[in-house]
Amino acid sequence: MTGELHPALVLLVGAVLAAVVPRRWSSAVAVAAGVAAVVAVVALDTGAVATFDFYGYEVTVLQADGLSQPFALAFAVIAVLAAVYGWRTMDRLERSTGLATAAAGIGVVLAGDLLTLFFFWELKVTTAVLLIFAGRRARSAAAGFRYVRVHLVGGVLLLGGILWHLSDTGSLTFGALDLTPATSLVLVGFLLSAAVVPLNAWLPDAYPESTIAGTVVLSAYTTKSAVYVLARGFAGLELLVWLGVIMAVFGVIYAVLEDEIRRLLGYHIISQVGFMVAAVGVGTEAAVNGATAHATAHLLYKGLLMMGVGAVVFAAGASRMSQLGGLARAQPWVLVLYLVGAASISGVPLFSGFPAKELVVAAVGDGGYGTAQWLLKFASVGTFLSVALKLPAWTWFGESTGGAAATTLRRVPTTMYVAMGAAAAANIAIGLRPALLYDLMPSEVVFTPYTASKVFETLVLLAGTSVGFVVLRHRLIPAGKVSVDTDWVYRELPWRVAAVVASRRPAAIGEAPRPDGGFRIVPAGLFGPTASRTKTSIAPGWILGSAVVAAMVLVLAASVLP
Amino acid sequence: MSRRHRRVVALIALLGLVAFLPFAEGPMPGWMAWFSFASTVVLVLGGKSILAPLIQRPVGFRVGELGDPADELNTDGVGNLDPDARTRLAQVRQDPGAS
Repeated sequence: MTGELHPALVLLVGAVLAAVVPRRWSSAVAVAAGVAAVVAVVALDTGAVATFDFYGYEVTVLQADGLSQPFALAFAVIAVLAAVYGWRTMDRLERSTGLATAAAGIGVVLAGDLLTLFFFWELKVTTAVLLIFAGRRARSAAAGFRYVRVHLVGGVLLLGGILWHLSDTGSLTFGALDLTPATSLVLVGFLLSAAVVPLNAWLPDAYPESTIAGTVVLSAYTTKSAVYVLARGFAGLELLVWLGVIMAVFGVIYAVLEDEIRRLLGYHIISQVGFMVAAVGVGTEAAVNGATAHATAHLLYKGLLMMGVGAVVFAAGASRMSQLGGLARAQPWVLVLYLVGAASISGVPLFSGFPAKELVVAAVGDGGYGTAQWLLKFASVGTFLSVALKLPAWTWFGESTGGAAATTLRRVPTTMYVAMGAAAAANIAIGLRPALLYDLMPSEVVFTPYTASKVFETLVLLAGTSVGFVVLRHRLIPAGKVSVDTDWVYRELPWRVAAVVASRRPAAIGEAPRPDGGFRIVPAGLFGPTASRTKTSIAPGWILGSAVVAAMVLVLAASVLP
Repeated sequence: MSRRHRRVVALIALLGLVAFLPFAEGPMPGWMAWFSFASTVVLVLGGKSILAPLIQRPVGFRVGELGDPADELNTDGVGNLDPDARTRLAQVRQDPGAS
C-alpha cells in the first residue's frame, strides 16, 4: 500500500498540520512532511497508477513512470531543504504554503490526466501567490497581483484548451499530444509557466519579492513542472528548440545587467529552463534525458544559489550589489557554499551541472541543431560570467559600496547552513558520480561526460570567460539601476496610451477635478517619462494591463497553431 | 604600459597559446577559449554600452513600486523591517547619495 500513497497527499497533510500545531512544532512538522514525501516518492513503483471515477470520467491522480519520478523525487528533496532552510525564519502560514506548493508541483508531475493536472496546476499558482504575499511589503503585494494576472490568463487558456481537447477527442489522458487548435491553447498555458520570452517577466518580477525561504520554494516548482509537462506532451516540437535558445540567451543578457542579486538568479532560471525547453524541442530519447537531468540538477543548484543569496539578504538587509560588497570575511562559509552552486550552474567539471549540461548540449547538436548548440554555449559563458564571477565579486569581495557591510551583520542561523551544506553535498556527489543522476532518467543514458576532450573544452571555455571578466571588469560595476523587461508592455504601455488619450480630450466646462484616489494622469507622451499615477489607481491599470497580457498570449497561441 | 595593461596582454597571450593545446578534437582544439572570450566581450560591451541605455532606468522610476529606500533594506527574512535596516534606512534618508 505504501507504494500507492500519493506523495502530494503526504505534503498536503503536512501543510495542514504545520499551520495548526503549536509554533515550536511547526518547523519539525514541515521537515518531517518533506522527508515522508521523499520516502513516498522512492517507494512508488514505476508503473504505479491510482484512478477514480469522476462524473463518468476516469481520473488518474497518480501515474508514476520514468519521466515523472525524477521530477517528483527532486521536488520532494527541495521541500525538505526549504523546510530546513526556513526553520528559523518562516512563520507557520508561510511554512504551510510552501509545503502546499511542493504538493502541487508533485501532483502535476504525477498527474495521469489533464483534469488532475489542471487542479494541481492552479493549486500551485494559488499557493505561489500566497508565498509572494508572505514578503509582507507593498511591492510584494503588487508583484503578487501581477503574478495572479499573468497566471490567470494562462490558467484560463489551459482550461479552455483542455475542454476543447476533451470535446474533440473524448479523452482526458495526458500523454504525447498532437498539435491542434485545442492543444495549442494548452501549449501556451504551459509556455507561460515555463517563462518563455516574451511571457517571462512575471518570474524576475515576483520571485525576489517573497521572503528568503519563500524564494527558494518558488524557484523550484513552477518552471520545472512546466518543463515536465512540455516533455510529456510536446516533446519533439521544433518551435520549442528556438524558444528555448531565445530564453537561454535572453536570460543571461539580463543577468549581466542586473543589480539585485535574487532577480539576477531569477533571470538565470529563465536561461537554464531555456536549455531544458530546447532539449524537449529536439525530442530524441537523449534530449529528453538531458532535459530531465538538467531539471533535476537545476533544482539542486538553483536551490543552493537562492539559499546563498538569501543568507546575504538575511544578514545584511540589502539585496543590491551596489549596496553590498566586502562580506567574504564575515560570511566565508556562505561564500564557499554559494560557489559550489555557482560552479554547478556554470557546468564546471566535478559539479552537478557538468554531466547535466553536457548531455543537453550534446543532444541538441546530435539532433541537427548546430546553431542552437553554439547559442547554448554562448549562454553558458554568460552564466559563468554573471553567477560565478560578477555576483560574488560585488557581493562578497571588493569594498562595501553601501552601508550593509559597515553595520553589524545578523548571524545566519545554523539550519540555513545545514540546508545549504546538504544541497552542496548533493551537487558535488552528482558531479563526482554522474550515474547517480543518469540512473534516474526516463531511458538508458549512453553518454560519457568525463572525456579529456569535453573536460578540456569546458575548462578552456571557463578560462576564456575569466580572462574577459578580468579585462572588462570595470564595465560590470553594478549601476544601481532597474532593467525594463517585457512587462513594460502591460505595466507601462497602457498608462502611457491612456495619458496620451487623456491629454487630447478637451476639459468640459465646470468639470470637477479628479480625486487623487482616481485615475490621475499626467500627460507624458508615449515614450517620455513614466506617467504619474496614484497608488490607488489600480483598477484601470489592471483592466488595461490584463487585456494586454491576454493579447500577448493570444498572439503566441496564434503563432503556434498548426 | 601600466601594470594592469601588462597583465591584460599577458592573459590574452596565454589564451592564444591555449588555443593550440592538443587536448580536444579539431585543428584548433582550444579555440573555445577565444569563443568564450569573444562572447564575454559581446555580452559586456553589447549589454552595457548598447542595451543598458535603452532598457535601464534609475531605481524608483515606477511610482510606488520600486525606489523607496525602505524597499531595498527592509528584509529580515520574514518581511519585517529589522532594527539594523531601520538604522541604515535613516542613514540613506539623510544622505540619499550613500545608497
